Amino acid sequence: MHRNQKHNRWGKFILLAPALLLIFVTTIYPMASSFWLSFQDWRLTKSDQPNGFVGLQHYQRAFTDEYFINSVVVTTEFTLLSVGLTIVIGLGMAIILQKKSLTNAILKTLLIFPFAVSPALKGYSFRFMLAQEYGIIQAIIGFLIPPLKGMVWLADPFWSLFWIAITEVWGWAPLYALMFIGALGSIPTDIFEAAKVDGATNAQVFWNITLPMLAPVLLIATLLKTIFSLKIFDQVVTMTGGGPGRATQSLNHFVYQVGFRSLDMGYSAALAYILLAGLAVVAFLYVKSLYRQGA
Amino acid sequence: MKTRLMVITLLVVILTALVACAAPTAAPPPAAPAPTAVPPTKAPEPTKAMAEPTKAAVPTTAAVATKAPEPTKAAAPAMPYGLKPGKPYNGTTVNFLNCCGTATQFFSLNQKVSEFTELTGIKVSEWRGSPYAAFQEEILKETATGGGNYDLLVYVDAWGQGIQNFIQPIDDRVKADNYNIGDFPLVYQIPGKNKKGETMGVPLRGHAFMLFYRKDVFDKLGLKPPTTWAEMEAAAKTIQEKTNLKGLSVYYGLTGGQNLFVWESLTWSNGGDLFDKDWKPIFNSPAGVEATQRYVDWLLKQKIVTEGAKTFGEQDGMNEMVQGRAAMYLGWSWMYSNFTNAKVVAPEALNNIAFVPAPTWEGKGKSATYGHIWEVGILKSSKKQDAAWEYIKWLTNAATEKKVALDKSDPKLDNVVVVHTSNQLDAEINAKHNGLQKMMAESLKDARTQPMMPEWLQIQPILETAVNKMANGAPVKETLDKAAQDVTDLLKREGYYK
Repeated sequence: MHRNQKHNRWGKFILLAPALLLIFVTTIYPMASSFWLSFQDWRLTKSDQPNGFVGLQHYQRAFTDEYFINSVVVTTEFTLLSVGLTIVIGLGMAIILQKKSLTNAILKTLLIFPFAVSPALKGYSFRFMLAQEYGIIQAIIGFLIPPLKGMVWLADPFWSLFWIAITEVWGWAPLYALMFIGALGSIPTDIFEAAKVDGATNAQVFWNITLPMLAPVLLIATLLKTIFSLKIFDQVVTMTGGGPGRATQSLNHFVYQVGFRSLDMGYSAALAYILLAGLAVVAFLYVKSLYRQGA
Repeated sequence: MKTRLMVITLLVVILTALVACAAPTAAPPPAAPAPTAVPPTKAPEPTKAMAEPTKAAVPTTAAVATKAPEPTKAAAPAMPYGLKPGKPYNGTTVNFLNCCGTATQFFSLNQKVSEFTELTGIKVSEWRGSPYAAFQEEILKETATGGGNYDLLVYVDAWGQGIQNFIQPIDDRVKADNYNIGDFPLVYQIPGKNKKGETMGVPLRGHAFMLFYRKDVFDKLGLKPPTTWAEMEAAAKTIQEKTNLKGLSVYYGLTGGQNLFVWESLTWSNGGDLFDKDWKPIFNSPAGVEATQRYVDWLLKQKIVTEGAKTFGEQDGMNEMVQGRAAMYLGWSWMYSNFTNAKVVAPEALNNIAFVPAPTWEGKGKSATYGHIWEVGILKSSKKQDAAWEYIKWLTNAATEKKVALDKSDPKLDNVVVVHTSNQLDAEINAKHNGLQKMMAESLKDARTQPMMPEWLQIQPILETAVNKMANGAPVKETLDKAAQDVTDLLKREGYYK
């Protein structure tokens, strides 16, 4: 019996070993290595390997670097815009499509497709659709609102960020609509019926029953989308290159520029860890909310 | 306990995903030997005008390796292209870090590589189709991780100084094989040198900056091809008044520094420069400001450029010409292949696009444009450097280049790019391409390189962002001053000056 217990104790570690090894090789070691690198001077333009320990220099430099601060501001604005629009539009779609019908069933099937489109492709597609001379979105807007005809959307600081956010909303809102349809379906119908009997209007039902009942799902959806929005990169590259000026340069794009264009590996690693710190806070909240709901 | 373990595992998985996306430098440090001492970077050669054309336009005795392969009368079996006889590297495969395999020059070279393999027994990995924009990342991956995957690479001039630590000098090989570097225009040779003055690459693909124009429209309106910027502006205005075409197509968007090409040409042609001899930025000098203002005015004030150009890269700019929306385009000589390709050019533009050298600043003499070049070099980490050099000799040989330039059997192979001066002046090649190469040679005599300093990779984003901002209405003088200050701060940090 005792021997079996001992065998079981080691057995679980043996069974876990391949997974732990994989995590160590693919996560722990690269993380530790790049974290160590963030304290070193390694500019590939100077040397083919790190040139020495510089302590917190890169981190200090980041907080006095106006381009870094700009990228943090842009990323925050983008996150607020894209997360807000995704949740609101996703919820609106869910409410419209929740009733069971053949049309809704077909539409729900189609909803998954935008999410399957790669972010880079989304960026290119929207760039073409917004093109001043031949873009279809540009043409439609110009037809509906003549003063906006010929507008170069991606050359305007606000609208360029807005349209990058829209590419995200286009991909994510349908997915969230499906998620919210599921959540709406899980709310007992007798609550709605009771409210109607008590004379509640549709708006009152939505604000006082639907929304509070959806709150846990909304929280998780918001946190998850926040994580993805904070990492925005592909559409920035394919639609604006961070422009006009630096008006759409996200933090991830700035990290990329410092690392892959300017070849400053140490500073780039430090910037990536600052981004990671922000993401880790949101990830922590996300896991905590999952844990609470599980409990 | 179980739940806690699940939560922790979940957290680890999320962090894994985040790190994978966020951290670009997860690679271990390279297993290179002792660190190379790098003195404070004072780049060796400032990029002043290349006033004198290379004397090697006339082949010298050293040109044996780059002459057309002809069997000699000597008893020993002579090898064409200066290749080593006896196939000493038979069975070796060299891996070539490259991109843009669909470019007609590269496609054609790829197709003809079997000749090299037959002569040497060396196999070469194919030209890859990965886009130009992703190519620098490929180079970074190879170099930052210690290398070993590739033996040789191509790189554009602007990157050369930045990655010189990873490229093997080849002076001994050049000397031993009498490789004729002198047959390349001087402006193409400079980016092949590292800061010690050693040769690290040889030219493979190069361009001259030109003005393309719609000959049919010019003829109809009685306009002459512009020789100065003022003439170009006047022609553009006339065209816009009398046709539905835009006068000019250029590009101000943020696409890897492409919006600097026209800006540099204007600045240089106005007698300005980017840096002085001490590497202090002077692009905000009165000449620089005047040139920049003119560049921005084409878009904002004169309106001879479509407003969409604020987001254009050079490809978008070229498409304006290809699709018949613009009457003039400032761009690279290689684009002529596209302008003559019936599959892509609008019918009204086909066979109607002609070219002249980029205009000059009125009253300021010769034009000074950017001579763009791709070099090919051997990676220090390669274990097959000898075989890689054999391939370079074949790849960059004047005879190989001539074969590629004359092959018009398929639009995919129709290539106008030649980088040897002897080929640029070759009558047969020029006859095939309406004299484009001869005009390239003329233009390159006064062309310049981008600043040859490792920090150019960091300076380029500052300048391209400034140009883009100004195209979107930011004041020219203030924006250039701010960019100059940023560049000064950067170069101070890099030890150029206090």
